[in-house]
Amino acid sequence: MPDTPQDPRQIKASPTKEFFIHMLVRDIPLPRSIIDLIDNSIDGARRIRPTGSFDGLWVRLEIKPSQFRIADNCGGIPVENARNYAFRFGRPKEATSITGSIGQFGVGMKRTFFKLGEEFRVFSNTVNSRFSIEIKLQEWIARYSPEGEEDWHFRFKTLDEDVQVPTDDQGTIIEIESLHPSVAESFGQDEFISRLSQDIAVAHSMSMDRGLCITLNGIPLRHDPLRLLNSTLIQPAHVELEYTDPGPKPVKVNLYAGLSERSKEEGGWYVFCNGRMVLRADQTNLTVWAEGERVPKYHPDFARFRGLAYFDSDDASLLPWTTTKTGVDADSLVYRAVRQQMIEITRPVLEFLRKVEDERKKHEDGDVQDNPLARAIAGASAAGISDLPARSVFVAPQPPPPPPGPRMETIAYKKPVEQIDRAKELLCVSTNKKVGEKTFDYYLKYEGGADGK
Amino acid sequence: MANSGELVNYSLRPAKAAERKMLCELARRLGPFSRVETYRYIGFGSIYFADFQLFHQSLGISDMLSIEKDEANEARFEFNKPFRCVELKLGQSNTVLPHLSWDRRSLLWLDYDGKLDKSVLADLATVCSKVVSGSLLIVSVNVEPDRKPNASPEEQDDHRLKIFSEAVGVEKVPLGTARANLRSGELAKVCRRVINNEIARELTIRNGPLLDERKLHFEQVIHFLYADGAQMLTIGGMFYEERERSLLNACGFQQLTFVRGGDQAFTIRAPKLTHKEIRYLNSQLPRVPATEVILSGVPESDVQAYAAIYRYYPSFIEILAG
Repeated sequence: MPDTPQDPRQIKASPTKEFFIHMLVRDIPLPRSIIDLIDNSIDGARRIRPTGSFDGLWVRLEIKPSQFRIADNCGGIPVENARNYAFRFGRPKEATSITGSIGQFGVGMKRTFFKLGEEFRVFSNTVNSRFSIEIKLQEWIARYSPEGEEDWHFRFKTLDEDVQVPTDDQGTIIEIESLHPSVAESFGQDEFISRLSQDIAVAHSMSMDRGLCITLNGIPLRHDPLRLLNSTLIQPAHVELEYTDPGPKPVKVNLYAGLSERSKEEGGWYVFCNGRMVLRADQTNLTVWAEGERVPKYHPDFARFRGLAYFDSDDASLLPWTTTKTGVDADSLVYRAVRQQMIEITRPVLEFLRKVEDERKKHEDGDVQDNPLARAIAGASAAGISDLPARSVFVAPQPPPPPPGPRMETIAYKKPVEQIDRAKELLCVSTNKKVGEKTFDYYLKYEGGADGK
Repeated sequence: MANSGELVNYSLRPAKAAERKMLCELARRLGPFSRVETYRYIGFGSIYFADFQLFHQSLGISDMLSIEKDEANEARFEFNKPFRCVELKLGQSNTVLPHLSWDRRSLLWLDYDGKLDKSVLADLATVCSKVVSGSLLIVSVNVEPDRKPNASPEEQDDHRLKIFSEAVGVEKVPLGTARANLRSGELAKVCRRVINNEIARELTIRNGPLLDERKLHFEQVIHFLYADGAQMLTIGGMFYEERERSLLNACGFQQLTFVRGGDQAFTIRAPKLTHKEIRYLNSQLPRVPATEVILSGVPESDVQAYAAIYRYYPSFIEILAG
């Protein structure tokens, strides 16, 4: 950098572009950085369709070792937004936020550029404007202002304002080339593409439920919507909370706890922020597990458990997500308070699942003939959560009371086969169980005193 | 752990009986929040339901829920329910409390047989995360120190610290808790601190994102120590939202002689007195200062202990008839 005379008391603290690029891309995995770009498309979809269906809207990803391309028809980036905010590093306070947006940190698009490659092109058409931007990373890094300061600006390559754009042309295309070698390598692997498609489907399941069509290399992505078992006997808990203190816009929270298909991997808590899944099938203390006496560690007996937490706010900065959107911010005051409620609505579900397990064992051992809890689960059907009424506690049947009579316990012990066979002969019985019972009765009869039965 | 309900009829424990009457008098003052008969009472009724009898008869509370852990004896508990309005919930308090809906003001008396442990703290956490403003929580635990047989004083101290840490969890033992703090007479102070810490911790989490006026506070009003057999500690207090602080003040709990908001306990001691002695002492009461009350032949300390609780001193004839 050229030497310029300056105030001798001034200490330079401004960042360098290289530092920014290095720091930005460090903490985000490649698939997540791609999902960030889809976030921008979905914010566009929310801008043009604040409520209701996304039918007819699409996001198309083309991912090849030579080029990354994402195109959408979600309204395009307004010129004013591009000029002042969309390409800034960080989101200035005065930026107009999209209601319920998911791209609040102002780092997503640039981070993905830097993560993927060295040449970027952006084409965006709104209802009344068109622009394009082309950036070559090395040229941008080397650019200084006439005063010798780093020049951080990008420039429109083409710009048309106050034009009429047909609806079919409204949208954004982003192309990234000169991909980093490791990125190009990943993009050539089927396994990477396949995992990426799953990650996208999971992260944006709610937008896809609203009708958004996402394709990857021409193939439409699918996902199974999250459903909970519901019947007259089994009903999920659904708690609605609202916090108005953290900011001018309230944070609304919907919690659900109930049952679904038995799956060791899928069991756990799912957390969404403005529809974006940020935590999937969590089985750690970050949500509720291993919380002292209140919630035990996750265990395969809980494979039917599902907890769903939806945080929504018109001001996305109030939501408890991390900047990479790959998890929740455990220190968020809202999250800590909500987690307290998540813990409490989880407990009755786990208590029920323990009883189901208990019933299963007794049923298998022949100790009980009926298994009403298992039948109740089998009789419940999976239902979407949108129709579930508020209910503070999970509803499930109680096991029948133990049969009347004294409380029973089991004794188990090992003896050499030869001795057991001898006892069978003497007692005229054929099973080990009978040997145990008869010998026990025999002992009590002669040594148990008056009470020996 | 022995089920103390089977060992002794609570209504014959004089200090316990006095405590119950004092709590009843405390609850009578909840009016500024809501008429007390609209409260829900949650307790551990055992087979005697002494608290349920008193609170229904004296306070008119009719939404009553008894948590009973001894699931095998359901029929006996059902039979002994003193009034039709008592609902029985079988199971450990740990499993029953999360099932309750907490939409109304409650009077809870978690009257544990045993000592302070993780399970008690978990119940407190549940209550603090759910309870609504205007609710009164009472917690009783056994604070008799553990005794290891044939141990030297040093071994005894080590043993107690180990047992206590295991019971409540190492992270809940207040920093600076010395071995001497777990001896008789001292353990109650540590237990009170752990109970208050747990309540404060959960309320802090709950309050984090709430507007100041909606933040929920806990104000201790009860701090009893008594021993009918084992040394017992009872901590009680009001949950109130900041915007209802004036209602708390209107309750006037501080006017009750046994209310204690700090670390100094009100010790309940029910001296052994004959009916004739009681009638004679009553004829001199109330009197300030109580030191002027005299009864020759009875130790001065017994007279003073009686004078402190004379309005709540149990009359067994009355209770057996009740």
